Amino acid sequence: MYPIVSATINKPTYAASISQANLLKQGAYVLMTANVKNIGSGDLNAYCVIIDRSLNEYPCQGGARLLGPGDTVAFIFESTDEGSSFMVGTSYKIRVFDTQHGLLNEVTIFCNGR
Amino acid sequence: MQRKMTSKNGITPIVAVVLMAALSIAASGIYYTEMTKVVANPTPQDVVVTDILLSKHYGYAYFSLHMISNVKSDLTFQVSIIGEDGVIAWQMRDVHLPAMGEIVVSESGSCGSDFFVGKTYIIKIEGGVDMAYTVECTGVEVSTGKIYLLAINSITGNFTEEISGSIVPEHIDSVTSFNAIAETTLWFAGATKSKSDSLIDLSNKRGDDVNSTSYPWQNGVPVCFNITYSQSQNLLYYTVGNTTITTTPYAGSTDLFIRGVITGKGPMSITVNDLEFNGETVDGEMYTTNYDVLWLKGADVSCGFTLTGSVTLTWDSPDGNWGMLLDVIGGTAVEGNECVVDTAINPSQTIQGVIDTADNLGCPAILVTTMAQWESLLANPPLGAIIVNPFGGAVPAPAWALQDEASSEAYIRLLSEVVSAYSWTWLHLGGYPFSSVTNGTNTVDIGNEGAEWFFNVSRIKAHGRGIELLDENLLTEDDGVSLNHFLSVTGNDALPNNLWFDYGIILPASDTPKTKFTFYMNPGGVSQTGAMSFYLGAGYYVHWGAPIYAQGHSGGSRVSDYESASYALMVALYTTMR
Repeated sequence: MYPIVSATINKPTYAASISQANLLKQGAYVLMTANVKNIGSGDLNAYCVIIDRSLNEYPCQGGARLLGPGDTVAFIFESTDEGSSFMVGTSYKIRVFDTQHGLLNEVTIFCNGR
Repeated sequence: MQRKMTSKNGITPIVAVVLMAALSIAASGIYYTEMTKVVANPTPQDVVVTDILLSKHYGYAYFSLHMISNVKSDLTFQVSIIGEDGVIAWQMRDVHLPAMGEIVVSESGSCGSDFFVGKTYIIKIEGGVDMAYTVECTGVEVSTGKIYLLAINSITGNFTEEISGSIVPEHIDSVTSFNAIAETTLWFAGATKSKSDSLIDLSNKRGDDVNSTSYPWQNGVPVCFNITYSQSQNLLYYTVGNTTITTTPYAGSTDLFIRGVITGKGPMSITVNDLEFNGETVDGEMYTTNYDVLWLKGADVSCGFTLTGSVTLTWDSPDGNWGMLLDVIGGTAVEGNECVVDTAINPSQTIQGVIDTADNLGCPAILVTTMAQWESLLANPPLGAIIVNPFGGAVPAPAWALQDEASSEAYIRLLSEVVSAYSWTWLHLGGYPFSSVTNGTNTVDIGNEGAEWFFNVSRIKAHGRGIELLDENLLTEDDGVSLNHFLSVTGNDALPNNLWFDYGIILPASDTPKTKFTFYMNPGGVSQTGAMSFYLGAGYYVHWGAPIYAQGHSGGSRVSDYESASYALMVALYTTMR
């Protein structure tokens, strides 16, 4: 209750949840989907990045998206030739950032497919 | 001392309590409002996907997916299935999922060649919520190997006139080479920018009947051009930017060349791109700082045409005299016999026959159109590939294999090793097998030795002509996988009982390659056959000797190269199945 009350009375909070994140590979084709919800009280300018164990970054398409409190947005990373960069069975981090407030949330998922 | 309670002292606690209560109520209200705001927006978990099915039956495929909504508003999705080649095989747009409802999305059709049984495929769902799933393809199929057709663009073969009209641009980078190829030059559409001139012109021949006008070429600015020839008017229209000039050209041009020439010293360049011939994109462009000619091979200019594109001239105020000349030239090219490959069969009909049959059977057929692709395939061979050579006895080969007979031998032995080690099936469709290697420009004739190198045996030949009989044993095996059963379940006609082959293979009495199936046999014995498959290590060589007639030479019906290629692919697939 405190963040919500304080957000209104005092200053906004910035937080995001990540749900239904999937990373699938099919030969050279690779697809990642992640649904992000603004669970804070302030507007977010959110973008999403896949990070592998070597800290290589794969930014999702579309860049940063404006999300009002309670809004949900889907981020996609899709490539027809970067499948070889991903390894089935290996874990990858999905990180959601705000352009002003930095890292909002992170989940770890495994790459599936073939 | 007892303090006297005043009315002021009594009111203060009451006010405090009231204020606290008000604050509490306000806070609760804000909390409720915020909570409502947060949870009212639907979350991804409110859409559930179940029962995804992908099934194929040879060339036919079926897909379905069940979606359930727990959201109080309608949603619209786009559902895509990624095929074996990594691109979208099927896409269903505007899939409407009603509020708190459910829907079954389904699709079916001739998409079997996009999927392999037992492999998983990605389903991409986009809409208010994005989701990704995988589904395993079930069903029945002929083969898990991909078919690669060596349809190399630069090899036109001696059936050029029947290959449908794609343009194959070729660069000519010296004046000597251009003069050797361009037998006659009949008209020019020119662009000139020099220290003293800035113009465009049309001429029947250089310096003859020039129709010229000044044109303000701008440094580094792309300009569109259009050259149209009207056969009925016998008039050539040349438009650059908004300026158009015309001329009556000398008739008889059959070939188009785009030539860029830089004169003088200094930083200058000519770029020609975005070319379209009769509305079709030309896969080629020109950039030169010296001299280059782009020959639009295959562009049919005999009945009128329109060529469009973009020209960019750049210069950086060079010292002394300088200039740039760009010409589109109509003329005729030398028909060099050295560029015509003896293919024995019609490549375009053969390619189409294989593609259509592969589609019907649900096997992915991939066109290998450049030598670079072919070399890449040889460098990283996929397991179980079926390689179809539509050029008969002439085998597509990279430049390194065309230096001399020794390099050709090394190349054919390499092919044999790859077939053997990577379980490839090499499908030969006519002519003397491996009797020459070519890249379309250079050819090395080998003769019978090519087949001997490939099989690593001696005395193998392929020139036995005559009527042959279909092997009845193969047709009627009763274990469910006979050739008849295979043809029947795949919806194909039975093979003809008799075929008159043009290139039956004649096997040596000893040192014979190990046979897998004999499909047709010469009545005189099995040592001559027009249709036979051989083991080669872990792979196969399938010989198909270009049948010309069904049911005999006289009175028999003609077998087209299209039909022949279809039969050949079926026997090759049957070879890999068993």
